[in-house]
Order: sequence, then C-alpha cells, then structure tokens
Amino acid sequence: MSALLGVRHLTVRFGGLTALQDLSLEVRPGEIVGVIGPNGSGKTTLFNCITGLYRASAGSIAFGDPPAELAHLGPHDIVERGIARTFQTLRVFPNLSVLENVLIGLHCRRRAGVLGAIFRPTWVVAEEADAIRRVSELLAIFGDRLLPRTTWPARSLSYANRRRLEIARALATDPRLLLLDEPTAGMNPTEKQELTGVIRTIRERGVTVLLIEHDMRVVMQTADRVFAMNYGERIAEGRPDEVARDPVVVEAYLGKMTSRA
Amino acid sequence: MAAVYVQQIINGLTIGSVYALIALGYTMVYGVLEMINFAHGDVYMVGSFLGLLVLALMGPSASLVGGSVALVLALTLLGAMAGCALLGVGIERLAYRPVRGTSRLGPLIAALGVSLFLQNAAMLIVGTRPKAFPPLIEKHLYHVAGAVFTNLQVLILAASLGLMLLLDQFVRRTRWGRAMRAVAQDAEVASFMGVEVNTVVILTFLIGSVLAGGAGIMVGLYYGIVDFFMGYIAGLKAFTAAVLGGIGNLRGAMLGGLLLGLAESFGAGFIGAQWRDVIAFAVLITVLVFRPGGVLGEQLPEKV
Amino acid sequence: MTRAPVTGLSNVSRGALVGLLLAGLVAFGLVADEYLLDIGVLVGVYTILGLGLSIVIGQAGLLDLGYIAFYAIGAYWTALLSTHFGVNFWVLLPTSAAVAALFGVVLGYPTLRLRGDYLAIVTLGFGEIIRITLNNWRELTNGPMGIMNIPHPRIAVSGVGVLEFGLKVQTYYYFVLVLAIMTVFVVRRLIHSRIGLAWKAIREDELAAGAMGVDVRRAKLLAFGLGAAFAGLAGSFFAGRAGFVSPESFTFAESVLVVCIVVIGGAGSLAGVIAGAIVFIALPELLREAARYRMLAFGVAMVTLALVRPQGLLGRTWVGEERDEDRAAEAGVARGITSRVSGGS
Repeated sequence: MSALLGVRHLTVRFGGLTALQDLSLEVRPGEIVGVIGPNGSGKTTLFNCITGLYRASAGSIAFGDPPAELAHLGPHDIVERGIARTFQTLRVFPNLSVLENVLIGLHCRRRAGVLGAIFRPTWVVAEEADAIRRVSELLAIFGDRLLPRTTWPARSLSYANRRRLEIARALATDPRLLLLDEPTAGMNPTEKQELTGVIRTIRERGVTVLLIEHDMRVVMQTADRVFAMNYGERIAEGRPDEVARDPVVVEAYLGKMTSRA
Repeated sequence: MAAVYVQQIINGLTIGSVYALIALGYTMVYGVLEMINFAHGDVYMVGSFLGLLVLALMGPSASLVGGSVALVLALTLLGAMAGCALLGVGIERLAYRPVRGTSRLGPLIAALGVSLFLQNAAMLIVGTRPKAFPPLIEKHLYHVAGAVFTNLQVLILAASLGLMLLLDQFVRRTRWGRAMRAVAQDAEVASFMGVEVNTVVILTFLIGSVLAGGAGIMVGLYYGIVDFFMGYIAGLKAFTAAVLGGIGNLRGAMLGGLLLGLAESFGAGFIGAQWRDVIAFAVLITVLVFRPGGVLGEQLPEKV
Repeated sequence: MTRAPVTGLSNVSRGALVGLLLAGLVAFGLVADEYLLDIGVLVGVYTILGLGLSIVIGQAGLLDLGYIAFYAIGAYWTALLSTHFGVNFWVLLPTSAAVAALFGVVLGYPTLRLRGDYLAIVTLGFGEIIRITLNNWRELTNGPMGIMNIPHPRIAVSGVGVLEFGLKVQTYYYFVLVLAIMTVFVVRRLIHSRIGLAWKAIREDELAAGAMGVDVRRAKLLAFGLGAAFAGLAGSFFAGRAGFVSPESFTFAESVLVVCIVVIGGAGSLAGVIAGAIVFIALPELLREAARYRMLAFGVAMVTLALVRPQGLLGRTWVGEERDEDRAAEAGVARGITSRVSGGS
C-alpha cells in the first residue's frame, strides 16, 4: 500500500549547522513507527519540519493519497490536512482549563465565525454542544484521569496528566497521522505502561503514529518499525529488535539504552 | 542646483549625528537586555534641561569663570551628562531590573510608564512652553560649493563622531567592552565566565545616557529651544535609526542615525518640512516589515 | 462559551446586579445635570474605546499604541462624508466602523507577525502617521483647523415626528449608552466563542496554538480589525456629537490613555475596563486641578503595574527563556531583530 507520509531527501540547515542531512523516511497507514537516536540527532527537527515550524533547505515531504507536498505550508494548514503533534518540552496552555485545551484542538474542525459568535444561531449552539461531547469522548481514552478535572487549569495538573492532556488535545484535531515527541519522558514505569496501551488504542482508532522515544521498552512494545538517527542522518531502519541490536545504533548511544526507572 | 544638495547633506549629517548618539543608547540596551527602552528619548530631553539648569546656576559666576566659552560649554556638558547618567542608571535600577526577563511586554510597559512620568514631570516643572537655550557659541559661517554651514555644525559633527569612535574602541578593545559584547551574546554563559551581568547592564545604561545627555546639549545649542516633548519625537526617530542600522549593532546605530538624518533632510526638502516626522515613521515601518535585520543586520530566510 | 463566569455569583444574582446597574444608568440620564451628563457621554465613549482595545490587548495579547488612529479615521470619515456629500449619519455610523476595520486589517497584515514590543512601536508609528497626515493634508482634511459644521444626527420617523440630536446632552447620553451596551454584548459574545478561545490560546502560547490548527495570522487580524471597528464607531459618534473634529484630539497621549484604561483598569476583564473608563475619565474631569497630574499618575501606575504583575496583565507572553523551536521558527522576522551587539562586524 502507498505511504501516508513520504519524507524524501530532507535537508535542514541553520546557518553553518546541518540539522538534517538527506533524510528519507516512509510511514504507511496504520503503522506505529518509532524514531530513536541520541540527543541532538535531529529527531525533533524532523518533527518540526513535518509540521511546518521549520522550512527545509532541500527535499520534500509528501502526505496523503494522492500525495500533497507539505514543505511550503504553515503549521495550521498542515494540521487541517491531518497531522498533529505533541511537544518534547510539553506545551499545554497552562492557564486554560483541561476542557479549553482540548477544545482548541477542535478549532480547525469547527466553523463558527464572528457573526456566528455574535448572533449564536442554532447551528452554532449545536456545534458547541457537539464539541464538548467530543472533548469528553477524547478525555475518556485516559479513563478517569482527566475527565473529572475538566475545569482545572492545566498548570494545576500533575506532570503525567499534562502529558496525557497534550495527547488528547492533539487527537482533537482529528489527525490521520499523530507525531508524539517523547510522550513518556518523565513518567514512572506504571504510567509508561498505561501510555503504551493508549498508543495502541490510538492506532486502533485508525490514527497512524510516528513516535520519538528514548525508552526502548516502550518502543519495543508499540512500534512496528524503528527508524534510527544520528547527526541528522538515518543510521538504521527495520524491526525494533533488529535495530536495537544493530552495532551502529548501539555505538551511537554508547550503550545507554536501558529504560529509565 | 548642487548647492541645495550639499546643503541638505550638511544639515542631514548634523542632525543625523545627533540621532546616532541617541540611537546608540537604544541599540546597546537592546543588545544587552533585548528590551526597547522607551524612556531613553526622555533622558535626552532631561539632558537639555539639565544644561539649562547648569547655565542658570553658573549665570552670575560665568564671569568668574573668565567668560571662557569652552569652559562654560564643558561644564554644561559635564553637568548634563552626569545628571543623565544618574537618571539612566536610576531608572534601570528602580523600574527595569525588577521586571527583567519576566516577559516581553512587561519591560516595555514599565518603560512607557517611566517615559510618561518624565515627560509630565518636566511639563509640570518647566511649563508647556518651549524654553530658549542660550547661544553659547558665536556663529561663524563657512561657504562650500554654494552651501553654507556653521562652525556649530562642524562642532556637533566632530564631537559626535569623536564620541562614537571612543565608544567603538571601548567596546572592541577594553575588558568591559568585551564583557558587554559577551552579555549581549548570551548573558547566562557570560555570567558563568565570571562576568558581572548587573554591572554590565549599569554600564550600558550609563554610557547610553551620557551620550543622550550630550546630544541634548548639542540640540539645545543647534536649535536654540528645548521643550518637554522633544524627547518623544527624537526618541522614536533615534529608535528608527537603530532599527535601520540593525538593532543591537553599534556601528549600525551610527550609520542608521546618519542615514536617517540624510533621509529626513532630503525628504523635507522635497516633500515639505511638515512631513519630516512621517518620513521617520515610514522608514521604521518599512524596515521592520521588509528587512527587520536592518542595513547591517543578518538577512535570514523567512519562516514558513 | 460554556465556562461558567468566574465571579462567585450565581447567574440569578448576576442578572439582578446587571439589571440594577442598567436601571441606575437610565435613571442617571433623567436626573443628572448637563455637566454630569457631559461626563457621562465621555465615559461612554471611552468605555467603547476601552472595550474595543481590550479585544486587541486583553484577548489577543497584542499591544497597540496607536489605537486612537482608528478613532480618528472613524471621526473623519463621518465628518468628511457628511459635510461634503451630505451622507446621512446613520449610514456613516456603521460605515465608519467598517472603514476603520479595513485600515486595521491593512495595517495588521504585514505587521502582526512582529514581536510584541516591535508591534507596539509600529502601531505607535502608524498612529502618528495618521495624525500628521490629518494635520498636513489640508486639501482633504482642512489641516489643523479641522472640519466644522458636521451635521448632528437626527431621526425622522414619518407620521411620528423628528428627533434632532442637536446639542442635547441627554439624547447623546442615551445614544452612547445604547452603543456601549451593544459593545459589551458583542465583546462578551466574542470572548466566549470559538474565536475568543483561539485568541486566548494565542495569548498563552502562540506557537502551540498554531501547531494545534489555529490560523494565528487570521485570528490576530480579526482581533485587530474588530478592535479598530469599535474605535471607528466611537469616532463617528464623536464627530456627530461634537460637530467638529481636528487632529489635536487624536494624539499619542490619547492612545496611551486608552491603553491605561485597558491595562490598569481592565487587565482584560470587561468590568475592569468599564471601571477603568469611569475612574480615568470621570475622576479627572470632576477633580479639575488633579487633571494636570493625570498623565503623571498614569506613568507611575504603569511602572507599578509592571513591577507587581510582570507576567499577568497582558496575558501570558513569554516568561523566562525562549524555547529553541520559537527562536528558529521566528527566524525570518525576529532574528534580524535579535542580532547582537557586535562592535561592528
């Protein structure tokens, strides 16, 4: 089957620094692809490129069927086309409530404009009610971790809950491809296990996942394929267990591949 | 015909060098703190009035000083510069330091508040009407290529260039100059290397304010009148000059000032003097929209 | 939209309070003398201005220091078209808002992507350009002498009669009251809507908002244009009431005044803006001698506010260091503005 995302010969330069070098990567629909590599290898740069935050110096990014070129689009256009992401550094809206955070994800899927806001015709009211229902639905993916806290400001949530919130927010944009940037960073083993299950649930809902992770156990348990990077280039690609044993990959990490306890 | 151009060039360079002196203050503070010191123009205004004050105080004793114009001028300059230095450093300590780094707009709001305060305090103290600045320097005219210029213009140009050269050398060759450049690059790392950031900031404000004070005296001598509102307009123009040359870039500020002075001079000559100020604002908006790095700044690819 | 108002009052008691307030305002119009009504009209105008600017600053987080330019545009549009072409005031009122909004969009389009403090300076420049143009373009605007004999509004209902607004302060008071109430209504609806939430998100974290599908540029333009529209509306009212407009009513100091109303009084909340208008406009008028110190006090208030609420008053713009994504993402625009003190190279 044809690729959902086709990154071809992507090169990104910042002045004298080459962050990505002739990178090619394919993601097929329904896959969970893991992206691994030591810090500074360009993984987040890759994500930033795909989502339109950075402009590539060379190469192309094709998405969808028929494939559309993403390289010149702005971030919100890319979201509209069906790619959503979370951030490595965790960027929920701290002073907005849980409900509002997820609601923002729905922004591009709703149509109420200025006139709709002022006059509130029935379709706008209905759209709002529908949106809230959708938010509850999404929060329910995380059981009762977020649902009882919809009015809480995001900054008052625990770290793990904020990570979950960010994922729910990204899912609200109704993506075909979800980019998760180190979603389990800072979580304890139980939380990581839970999130692994969530990632699989997301795939079952028909969303393809591209996942940056440092925790190899999480990668092993979720990814169908793994793509390893170092210094902005691909160094290995294949099944998780194969890549994990690849000497080039091991060397790149200098042996630091145990999951953090 | 050429005489008109030469005249405009001379006038433009003169006022341009004043803009440059003020612009240096903006660009240094921006380079080191990434903040727009909205009140800087008003420090310049205070400098003019301090000059008036010094002259008024010296009044009766001017004859004691031997009536030496140079000495009177020197004392006036010193008084204004010292006063402005104190003011600038004081503002930094009281209004800016507490909000440093908290948000982007916080320091601007604080600066706006200080500017309002200085302007209105000046207005309440000296009144709304412009005050005359005594012509200390006897005018001599020189003729070149059909254009006329005065010894005062020469003096202003020379003094400004001299000060700029001093600053340039200071920043490039001395320890403290290096420290300033380091803090401008990365304050955190500079502090790791043993640079006392607060001292550098104080120094930055001090130098900028001293230059502004000097500019205030020059303008007083040149135009003969000063008013409480002059800081606002001159400040915006000087800021435009700093942006034009590339904000954060010292030589850029100098160049920008001269360029703006020339643009204004020629523009006023061709479009009309009442549109003078519009030229500066138009330049500002144009630069920020099309080439925010300014003339000497970096030109980077546009974001997606 | 669905968030319950955070005041601790139930909906019923809130409604009662508002009703009481409205009754009081109506009663005020009936019993107050001309002097007080005059102040009332002034407060009304600045309330509309404050609410309009609060969309721009309070909601979208954009500092506009040249807001009064849109007020001027509305006023002059009304003045010019009524005196030169005899256009009916009631056509000019809404079109003034539209024209001001248009200017807002035109100004905003190339500039709203600038960093907060640069945007502030650019808007300041725009405000000054407008004022100077109004002052110097004599053929169009009659320069510093302004435009006189602007016809006052009148309502003619066939069979019932004619209401000439003329110089009747009381009529203008009720007129501005209606306009102000409409403004409050519209602004409230906007804040609690899909677009209002987008503004909030932009204010919190512009980059993340964009990454979540918000068309940031469009949202900012919308805020800017809507804000300008309210200013234009107020300007049109002003022209119709005063019968005379001149550039000296539209200075930077006026822009700062409205900023103060929003930032010091309001800090983004609607009730605060209204309170700010009352305090900053009514009080100095009532205490004539103190008026001279008004701007001075504003200066102190702004500094104090910046010190006391450094991150709060304009929404959460960046607190702390910039993140790497932001730096590179702002590459084209902001980077030039962040080039360092280089001593010349």
